[in-house]
Amino acid sequence: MQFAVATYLNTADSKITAKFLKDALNFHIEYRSGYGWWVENGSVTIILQDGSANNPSIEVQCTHIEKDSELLLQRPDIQAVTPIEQHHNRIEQQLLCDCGITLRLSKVLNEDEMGELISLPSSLPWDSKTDACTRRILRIAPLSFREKARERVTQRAEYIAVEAGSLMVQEAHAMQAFVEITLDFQYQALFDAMQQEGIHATTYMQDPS
Amino acid sequence: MLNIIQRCFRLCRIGWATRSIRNAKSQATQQAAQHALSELLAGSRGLPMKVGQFLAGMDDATPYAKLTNSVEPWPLQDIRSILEKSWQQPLQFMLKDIEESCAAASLGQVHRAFLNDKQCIAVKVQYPDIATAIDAEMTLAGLMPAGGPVKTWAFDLDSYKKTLRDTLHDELDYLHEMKQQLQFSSSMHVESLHIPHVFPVLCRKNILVQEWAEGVRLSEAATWTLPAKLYIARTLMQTMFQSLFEFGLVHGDPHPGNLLFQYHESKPQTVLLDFGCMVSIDKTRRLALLKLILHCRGECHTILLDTFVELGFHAEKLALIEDKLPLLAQLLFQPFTEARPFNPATWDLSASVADLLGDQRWWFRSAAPADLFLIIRIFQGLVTQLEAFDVQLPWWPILTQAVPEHTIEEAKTWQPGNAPSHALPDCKGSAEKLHIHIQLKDKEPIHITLPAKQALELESIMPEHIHQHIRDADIDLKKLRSQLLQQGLEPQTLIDIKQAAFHYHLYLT
Repeated sequence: MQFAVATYLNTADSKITAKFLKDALNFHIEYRSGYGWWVENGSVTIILQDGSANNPSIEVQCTHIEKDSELLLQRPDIQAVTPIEQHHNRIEQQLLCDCGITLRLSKVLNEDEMGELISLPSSLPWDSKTDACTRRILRIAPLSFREKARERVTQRAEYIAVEAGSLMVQEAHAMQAFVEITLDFQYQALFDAMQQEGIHATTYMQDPS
Repeated sequence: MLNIIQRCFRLCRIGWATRSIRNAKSQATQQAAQHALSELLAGSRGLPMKVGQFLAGMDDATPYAKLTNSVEPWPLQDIRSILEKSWQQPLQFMLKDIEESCAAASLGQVHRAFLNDKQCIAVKVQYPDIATAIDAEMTLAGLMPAGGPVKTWAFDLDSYKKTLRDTLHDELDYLHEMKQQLQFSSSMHVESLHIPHVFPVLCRKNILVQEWAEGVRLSEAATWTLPAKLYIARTLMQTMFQSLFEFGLVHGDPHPGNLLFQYHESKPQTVLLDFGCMVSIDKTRRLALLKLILHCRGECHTILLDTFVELGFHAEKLALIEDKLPLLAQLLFQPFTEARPFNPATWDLSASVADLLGDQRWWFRSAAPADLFLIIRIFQGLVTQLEAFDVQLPWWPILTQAVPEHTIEEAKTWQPGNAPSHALPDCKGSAEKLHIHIQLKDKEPIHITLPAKQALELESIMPEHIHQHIRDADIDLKKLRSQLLQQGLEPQTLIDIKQAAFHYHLYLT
């Protein structure tokens, strides 16, 4: 994927568009003689040019798309073109602004929002029940650490399995791996997650409570 | 005599084809040259075919695979008389039936036969002229590298040649092979490893008789299910680790023709064949190797230089790169140190060592004992097998299952003897590298970098024919050495001899 950091945009009236972008999306605007209206928000700079607009659109990535949509639609100069819809791993909404720009609100969904249990990066076969509950227990890891946790618990469980003379990962190997890689402050969450899966957590760790 | 002349002629053509491969600019040309060489090697029993098998490695897909699959075997009628002469009995007294051979090996060929009690056996018969051909070929083929970095980096070439010659001679004695097979079979305890039973009363120096083993080759076994492949991979690893670290006698010929696999849902069997090329490793070297692995795993500490020396490395040469040994050891033993399933496909040891040592990797190799290439070949064989099966397993737990705990404990407490301190005297100076630049007429220039201190050893580093040119140029190497000791190793030109046929330039930077 490529990102533009600076671009030209043709609009019917660059002054109105600049004001709209300032008011609605907190762009910083500046008029530069010889160029026209410059708008920028810290990550992208747009030079607005008066001219025939060809459905210009700006994608706005949101953390809370519903809330952002609601706020924008309170403005009289914005109308919803589409409802908030899910497309593959993202949700989107198109809003049309009176200045002629289409705002595409979007949010990339994470694995939890998609209700997805991502496959383990395994090298050995896993017992299917262990595989499923390992994927669910991994949800105790914060999203930003989830990928690393998934990799570490898989590798450690497989190492423990081979160490135990097995070539298939079973519950004991996976739970032992969880206990070894989980940080102290998350022990309670791990204990609870194991119990929730119907696993006797005390077999593998002390009850933190 | 005619036979020898024909072999000479064929060897010349092989030499030409080998050069074509080396010089091939495009992959297509290289493939074509490989096919041509494969054809030539396949037509040549003995050493050329052995070399071809070496080139084939464990990859069933290379053009050389033709060699490990089959070459045209001798007809049974020619073999019949060899058997009768060796057994001193008519064949029908010894065997109920014997079939034409379907596969030729490098030094002999295998026939399926039936004993009178109907037991199915494999009869390996050595080609009658093969023993005498080996020595001639060792000289004629010029298989060992003799110039370039090998010479300049002071490789112990005679030692390499002797190792290869000894290995081939061992392979020619089938009674020796029989003993090794019996010894290996009785000493190894790896589940699902099958070593065919031998029939000592029927074995002779040129005949080996063992039970007939069925099975598929590696390329077919690589299509089996993941659990089956993992099981086989573990068997192969346990076999290697146990034979290397515990038993001290390792199967040294890991080409695909020496492995067969039998499918069983829970426990696929691995059949190991051909015990002619076995690598023997004495206890001190086994402990040293294990100690290095344990050191890299952080389970004990050792002086790396001394431990490498116990493995057979040259102390004085290795001392010059002693500062690099900790990282080098980590690279060499990486599969044993990773706390996760090891992916052999991502392990590019040559590139990593080149990154670390640069041109000094030749220095490291020249410091290695001559038989190290046999051990490296064994490891390469295992890595290639694991790659072919496309499986990843952690190495250390499998080693601990294959090797008894007391052996690992012994390695932890074992200490290397003190390596003799290297002979190079302390010499100050700001120069770090000695550059040797050799340009011969119509040849690619050779440029080698050595630690600067090697400038004090020019007499022993330089090949004899260069000494003559140095003397002719009125340069006294002893005097040069004294000057360097007095004045220190500072950046300067040491030798610069330029003539029509050559240019030798040695300088410090």
